[in-house]
Amino acid sequence: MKLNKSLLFYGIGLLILFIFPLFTESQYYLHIGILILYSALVSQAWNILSGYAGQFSFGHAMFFGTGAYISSIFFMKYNLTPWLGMFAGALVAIVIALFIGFLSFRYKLRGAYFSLGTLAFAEILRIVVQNSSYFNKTLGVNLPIGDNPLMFQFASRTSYYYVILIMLVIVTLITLWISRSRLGFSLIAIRENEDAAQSLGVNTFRAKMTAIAISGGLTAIGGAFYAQYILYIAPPTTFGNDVSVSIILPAILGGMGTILGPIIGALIIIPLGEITAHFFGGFAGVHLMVYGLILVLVILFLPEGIVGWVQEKLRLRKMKKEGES
Amino acid sequence: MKKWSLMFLLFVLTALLVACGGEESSSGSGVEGDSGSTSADVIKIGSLHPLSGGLALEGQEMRDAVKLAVEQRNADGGIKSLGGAKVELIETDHEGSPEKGVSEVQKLDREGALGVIGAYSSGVALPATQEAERAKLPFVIDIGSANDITERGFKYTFRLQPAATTFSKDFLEILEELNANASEKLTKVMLVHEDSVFGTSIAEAIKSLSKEHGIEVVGVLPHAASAADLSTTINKISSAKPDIVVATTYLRDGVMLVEGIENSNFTPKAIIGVANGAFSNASFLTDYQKINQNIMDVNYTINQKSELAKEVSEAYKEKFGREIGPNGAYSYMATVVLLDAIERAGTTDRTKIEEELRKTKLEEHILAAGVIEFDEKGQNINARAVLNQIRDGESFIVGPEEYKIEEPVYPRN
Amino acid sequence: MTAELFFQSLIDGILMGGIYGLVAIGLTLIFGVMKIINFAQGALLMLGMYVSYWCFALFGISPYISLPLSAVILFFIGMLIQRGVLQRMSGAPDHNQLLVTLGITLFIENLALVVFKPDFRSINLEGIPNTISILNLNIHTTKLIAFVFTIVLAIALFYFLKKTYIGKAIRATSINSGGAALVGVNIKKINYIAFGIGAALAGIAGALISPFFYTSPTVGSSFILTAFVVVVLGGLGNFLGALVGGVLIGVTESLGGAILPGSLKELVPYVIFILVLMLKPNGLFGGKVR
Repeated sequence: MKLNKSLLFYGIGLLILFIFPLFTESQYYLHIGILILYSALVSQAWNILSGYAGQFSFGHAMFFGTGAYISSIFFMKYNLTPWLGMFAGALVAIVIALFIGFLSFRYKLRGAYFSLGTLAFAEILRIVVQNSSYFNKTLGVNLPIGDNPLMFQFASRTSYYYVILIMLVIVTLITLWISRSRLGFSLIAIRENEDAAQSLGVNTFRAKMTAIAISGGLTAIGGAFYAQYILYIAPPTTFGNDVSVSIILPAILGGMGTILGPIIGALIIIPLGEITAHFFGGFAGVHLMVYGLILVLVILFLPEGIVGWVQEKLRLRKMKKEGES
Repeated sequence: MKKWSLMFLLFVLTALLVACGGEESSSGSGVEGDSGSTSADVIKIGSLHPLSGGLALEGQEMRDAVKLAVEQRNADGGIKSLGGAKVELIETDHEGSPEKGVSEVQKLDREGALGVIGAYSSGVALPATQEAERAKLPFVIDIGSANDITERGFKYTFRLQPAATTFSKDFLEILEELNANASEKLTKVMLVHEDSVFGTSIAEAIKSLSKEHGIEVVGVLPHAASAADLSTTINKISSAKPDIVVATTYLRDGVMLVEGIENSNFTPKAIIGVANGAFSNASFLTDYQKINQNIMDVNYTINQKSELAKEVSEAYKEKFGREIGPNGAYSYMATVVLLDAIERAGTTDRTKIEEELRKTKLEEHILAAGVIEFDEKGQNINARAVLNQIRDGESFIVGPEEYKIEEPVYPRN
Repeated sequence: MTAELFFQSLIDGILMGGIYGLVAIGLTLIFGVMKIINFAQGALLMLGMYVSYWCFALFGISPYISLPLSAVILFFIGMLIQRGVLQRMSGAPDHNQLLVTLGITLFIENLALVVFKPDFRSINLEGIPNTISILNLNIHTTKLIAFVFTIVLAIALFYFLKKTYIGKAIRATSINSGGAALVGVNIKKINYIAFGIGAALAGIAGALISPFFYTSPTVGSSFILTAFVVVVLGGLGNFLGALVGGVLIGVTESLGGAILPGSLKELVPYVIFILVLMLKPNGLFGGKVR
């Protein structure tokens, strides 16, 4: 009974996302829809490492940028289709993730130290990319416009929408699968108490390495999509701190360490930015003030995120019911 | 309880967006399929500039210039061919973010704007013009120097400002001429540039063309515009001892550079900016008189010989309390060009407006450049940079002949 | 590299390092006591610069004289932030605090943009020479003054924490807040004061930076990342460490810049940072407020 209910819930949600483009011709809504889905995707990827395993990365832009750059550069230089380029990007991101993971976990960087360490790594990658002529330095990569689905080029925005929707569904399923697997339980154990997890026989190093590799690879896929969608990338818009922050925000807002958190968070935060720009856009700066204020309020009053808070409410209600019966 | 109300607030906000969006799409979606109307009470145009973040200073200056041009048009009776329609300006902020630029263009499209002026940052201009092309929305770039902006063959993209390569060519030609008339030939050049697309593309173009013009580039020194310190750059300059320091910077780093050179043991024989954000800036001119004497800047700028330009500068100063800089002058003209095209088209059909933009031939304007007309790529063919020099807290055009009001001092001392 | 270039780079590096250390001192106090990565420190620094600027522009008061005012105003703003926001989330996970300070930064920076406009404001001090020349090497005067102030500040703070009751309470809280509460320290109050002092230090840093750096709403971002690196390098909550760490970063950056091409010199602080994180995670000089 319980399972059916939640399946129904997921099904309806998914259905709405799938039929949404049928009800709008507006390029604007489709664009916002795409931004929501891709933010949800990268935030979900981040969620694996930071939400489930509790390793709070503040530098996921390094994976995002890697995916964006590798897929674009391979496309421009070797005419490799971004469909494959995105996996090449993911592969490179995994290698980087393993390298950084090895250094960080081997030397036991925890908490704020891990966060600042990842931030530094992202900055290092940004500086390296913008000093390397292979990556076209700071000039960035300007991708051609075309209509060749084999080359990840679509004439209509609706196609981009479905591509990113399917990618998001896959990433979410991967996350779901991880959360219910042995790996997931190890990760949650690490998050709650790493020393205890280790003493119970969890190979914490290996679990964390797996988490950072999966998380980095999937983030790179999101980065590749971004590049092929916006068609122009430059070091600050792919490797910058702002990118890392915007990867983190949906998951925090929606609820870290939950499957729906990043998706709900993205559904709220992207429209929120648009709404503040809509109502306060005429006064430069005011919309960002409001945005900052709402951010503070949400974190202040919903520290576990929206999904975390709803779960808590439901749990309390259930306990109450059980108490009554 | 607080949490419930917060959740409620969030949902209301989301619902609001959907609601007001719905309204607009019903009125806005008419535009695309519409063959256009020949009378209107109000027509809308958009301004897309960075109004917040690190480039807010430049962005707001440009937004103000657009505002001025629109108000002047309205005071003159609006768009006469559309029955005196008043022009409404929609101000938008792209915050320097490409995806924001795209969504703002879509919003302008939905609100039925007939054209957009923007975008200052090349990184935003590239995706934003692409979106405008898709929406068949004329986009007049005031400033945005990346070559690629007009190289993609877009129909609806026009650019007033010279491209990065034009800048570099103008600079090298001006330098050649300076050397030809100078007592001393200065050929050893050190390139200092801020390291975003803007500075990098100009520096790279100068470097690749330098040999043909008999210039030796002794070094290229990039720095981040937000750098807290430029002493490394200064020290490298003073140990390389070039004749000329060529600088493409924004305001803050430009000032640090000049101050640093002034305070070092080495004095180059000339400091020349290329599209420099500091050397033509009003606050640099007046606040740093002790160090800025005879600094040159090869820049797109206002025509100091033109009476019209003087009127516009005064109107700008009166309205906004500061001087109109080169960026503002270009935004102003971009707006005039767009509004003229709408006037000539005499319809709200954007394809007609695009056709009229293409036919633009504006001889009377405020820029130190030739007739404004666009080539098939939408680039203003007569766009050019001129040589300015700072003297006693003011910047004067010192070359080429047709625009100059003072003689250049070169070498500097 | 010529000897002249080397020594000039060395001097520039030391002076710039002093500035980094100065910005890092407030950060390290907040970090050390409350374990908060305060991203808003750059925004607070910016507010301190505006206090100096307006005192100078409106009343002609030199930043060195209006410095106490910067400190006091920022102290209260800091208390307000701690009281209004951060105190309410004590016990929340680290990353939530970090994101809240990001939200606060966004708010303050854009408030400044709205109120003060995006214009770049500069203070030109008359009567102070730009540089002093010794042995053909140039020393930037206003940076030198800032450097001297930094040393004085670090020493003053050291004694404040060692000798006064509040100082001892702050140290106790930083080492073990539960234990401190048990022996009668009012943790809440100490946190207000500590954050207030941290913010006041940002105000002082702003005042000292304003004579040689443009004041504008986004100025904080030029310093904040390097300041974090310096904080970790020096050890959390260690003022003298922050100062030494700052100088170390300043010098390596400056000398590295003299050798490395392009903007690769920006790599130097981050590489050092990661090495320190791996090899000496408590900073070069150990942690805890001292």
